[in-house]
Amino acid sequence: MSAVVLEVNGVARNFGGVVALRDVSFSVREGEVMGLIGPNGAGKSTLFEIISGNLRPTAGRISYFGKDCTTMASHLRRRAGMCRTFQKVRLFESMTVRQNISVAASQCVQPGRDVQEEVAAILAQLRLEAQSERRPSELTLADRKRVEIGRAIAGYCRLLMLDESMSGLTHDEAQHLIEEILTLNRSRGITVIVVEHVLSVLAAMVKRLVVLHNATVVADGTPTEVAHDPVVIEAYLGTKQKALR
Amino acid sequence: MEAAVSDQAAGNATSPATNAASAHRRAFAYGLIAFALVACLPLLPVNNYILAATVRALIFISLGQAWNVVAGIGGLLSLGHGVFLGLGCYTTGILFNKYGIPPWFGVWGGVVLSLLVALVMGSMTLRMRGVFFALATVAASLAMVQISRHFVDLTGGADGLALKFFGNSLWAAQSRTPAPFLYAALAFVTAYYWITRWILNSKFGLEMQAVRDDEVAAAAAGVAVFRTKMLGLLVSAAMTALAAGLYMQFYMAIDPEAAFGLSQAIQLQLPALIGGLGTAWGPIIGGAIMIFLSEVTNWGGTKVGISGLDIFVYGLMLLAVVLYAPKGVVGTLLRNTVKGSGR
Amino acid sequence: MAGVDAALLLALQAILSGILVGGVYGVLSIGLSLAFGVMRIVNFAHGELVMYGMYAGVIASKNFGVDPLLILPLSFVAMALIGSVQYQVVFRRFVGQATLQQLLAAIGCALVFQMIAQMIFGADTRTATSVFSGQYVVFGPFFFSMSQIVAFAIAVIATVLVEALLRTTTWGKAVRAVADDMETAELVGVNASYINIGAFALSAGLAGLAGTVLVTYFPTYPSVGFSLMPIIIIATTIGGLGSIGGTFLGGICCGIIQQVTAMLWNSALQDVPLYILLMLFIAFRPTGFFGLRSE
Repeated sequence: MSAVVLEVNGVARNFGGVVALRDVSFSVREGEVMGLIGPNGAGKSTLFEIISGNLRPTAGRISYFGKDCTTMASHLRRRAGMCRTFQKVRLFESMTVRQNISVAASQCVQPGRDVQEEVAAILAQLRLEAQSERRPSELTLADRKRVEIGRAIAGYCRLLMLDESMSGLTHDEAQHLIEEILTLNRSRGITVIVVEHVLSVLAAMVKRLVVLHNATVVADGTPTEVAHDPVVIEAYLGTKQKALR
Repeated sequence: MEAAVSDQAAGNATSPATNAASAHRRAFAYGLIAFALVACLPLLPVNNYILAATVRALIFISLGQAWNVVAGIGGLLSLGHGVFLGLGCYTTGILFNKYGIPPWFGVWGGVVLSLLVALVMGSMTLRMRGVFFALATVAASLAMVQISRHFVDLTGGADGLALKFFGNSLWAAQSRTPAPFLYAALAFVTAYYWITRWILNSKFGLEMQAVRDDEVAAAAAGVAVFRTKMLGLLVSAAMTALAAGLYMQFYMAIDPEAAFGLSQAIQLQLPALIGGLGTAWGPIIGGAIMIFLSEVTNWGGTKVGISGLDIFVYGLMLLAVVLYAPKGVVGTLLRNTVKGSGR
Repeated sequence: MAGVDAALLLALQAILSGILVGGVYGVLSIGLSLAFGVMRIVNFAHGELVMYGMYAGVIASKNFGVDPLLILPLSFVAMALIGSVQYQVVFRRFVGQATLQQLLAAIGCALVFQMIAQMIFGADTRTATSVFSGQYVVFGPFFFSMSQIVAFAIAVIATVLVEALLRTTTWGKAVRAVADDMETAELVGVNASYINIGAFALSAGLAGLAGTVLVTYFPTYPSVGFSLMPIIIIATTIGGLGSIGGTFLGGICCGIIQQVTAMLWNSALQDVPLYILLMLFIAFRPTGFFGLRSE
């Protein structure tokens, strides 16, 4: 059995009187490609921010490779290999692509490995060599997303969390990005969690879906199982059905 | 610059790296020429006024270079850098006047004090949004104005502090003529230029710029954001306090308003803002432009009977730069050569 | 014991004076608070607008023999116009985000305004006299400057009027809608551009009005704006950027702290506790007591 990379245990989060998350629990095994979905307002973003370290839960624990990291600072999580991208791509606009990746590489590079070599390797893996001296403002959205992923995995990465990465891409671009992510998963053994709110995007990509609705987990299984789960259907289509009547 | 333009006109897509390299070489050549010119100034038959004006300009530029580290590279707009200027000046002056400690040693007292104040201020305000940090620095420096006015025995109160005059004296770092100060100031500007370049090309500089561009993304890339900001502030505070020592020795006197006042603190920022925030050349070019314009306007102003016209020009330049050329002179020129850091 | 009584009386005197002075600090600041609340603009040149209001009072008093308090409406309108121009030329592009560029632009404006004032009015300190100047009122063991009492009264009236304007009129409600969420306000048909320039004009007008009131007991000079800005910033931070009533109360707090410090310690250091308070608020509660979320 492969190791448990991430364990989310009884996580809850309130904002004043609003309950954003309620008793959320699941674990992710090494090498999995997992999807985290749910309608808007289900709590996905909150959970994402708690796992990546920008938000503290009101209750519950996050464990990474068995170690409790609930209160660990986000930059330390990154150095430990918990990497993330952003919903709206956030690159360092005043720097070149190479420099963007160097920032992460120099922070997270493993002992004995050269930073420049690592940067070159990342650029090669993500086919960004031709763009390496360009600034983010000169790149297409698809390229910007690849740079962000490159920055996320540079140096050291065991867990990659993608925040609605496909938004804004054409169907073909999304396909290419999915392939690239799956390649990273296979070749580097990176565990992947993809947060999305559109089910179809994930269908081809993930073997497992965790569904959030009303601040808690309502389903956890293969895409087929989840798609036929009446609770999930209710969550996504419930209001529409009422409207149709 | 000309090579790049003609290449593009000919339809050749010169790589950004080549443009940057040739721009670097040209800049370096110009810099060397300027350095040589300034260094030879005292040997030429120019009157003391011009020498003194050059010294003022160079000191001003070095203060701007120090500010540029935290504000340009680090992205933290400190409106109250006067705190460090004032602490540096007063410490050097008080240690000399009261305890006979030569400024060569006394200035380090100012540096240590500035580092402590920066540490305290930073830990309280660096986790806040930029605007609030800026306002907090204003509060700190204005508090210092009142404090230095109050403790008259120590600081000379509102009248300020004047160094005991020792004529031409090496141990007292004093001179009747501006020439020695010119070399000292030139040394500062050159040293600070190289320090800025070194920072820009280092891992630390990359961290600072990442934090400047996007704090959250920087943390997501593994950068320790608070620690980076704090280090930038500390380096900048130390550089300012050190240059303050030179300031004190040259002007031989300081008062609360000149040291900690808002007007002074704002003027400190203009070289980097006008020349190009976050670049090594920026404060030098910006400072040169500023001093030149200020001398011209003051000369014109006295002809027309208006004093302080240079402040007016500073205001206009600040507006012009912020509204139309936010990258400053150097930044706008560099747009054509792509690679920005390290220059 | 006589000693304790005397100390208590002094303290009360300081507090009451502080309230009077603080009320004026409050009205000096509500304009800044409004501009930030609606447009996220930190107008560092706000003090200069106050300064022009002060000079208006001086001109009225010394050149025309008119009591400054009589020209308050004129001050308001004149500064509202100048503020509108400042907004159009400089601030309009920065609406929505309190960026450092915007702060720098405001500082540039401040310097330009200062020098224009110096060129027109000269660098000397000027005072204005109103019908209340130099008069003192005695209430039991306390005495107060009549000008300060009148100034306080005007400050309160102005603040109440502005709050009423924002809460009851259609225009005021539109302003608050834009302050809350500009995009949503536009969705429901509010023309944010008009609202913004109007709110800024109001903010500038208030500055001018406050200045004209202030100059009845406080002298003016071209860089007085910079001297007033610290208190204005502190009042708005304590009370809460964006909250009118809160800022007014913040001003009162500043006044009290300032006067008590002057009494207990030294009037030369009277602002130091305020600066410390400002830093503490920035560090731990940047939204002040009543303010909007800082952004």
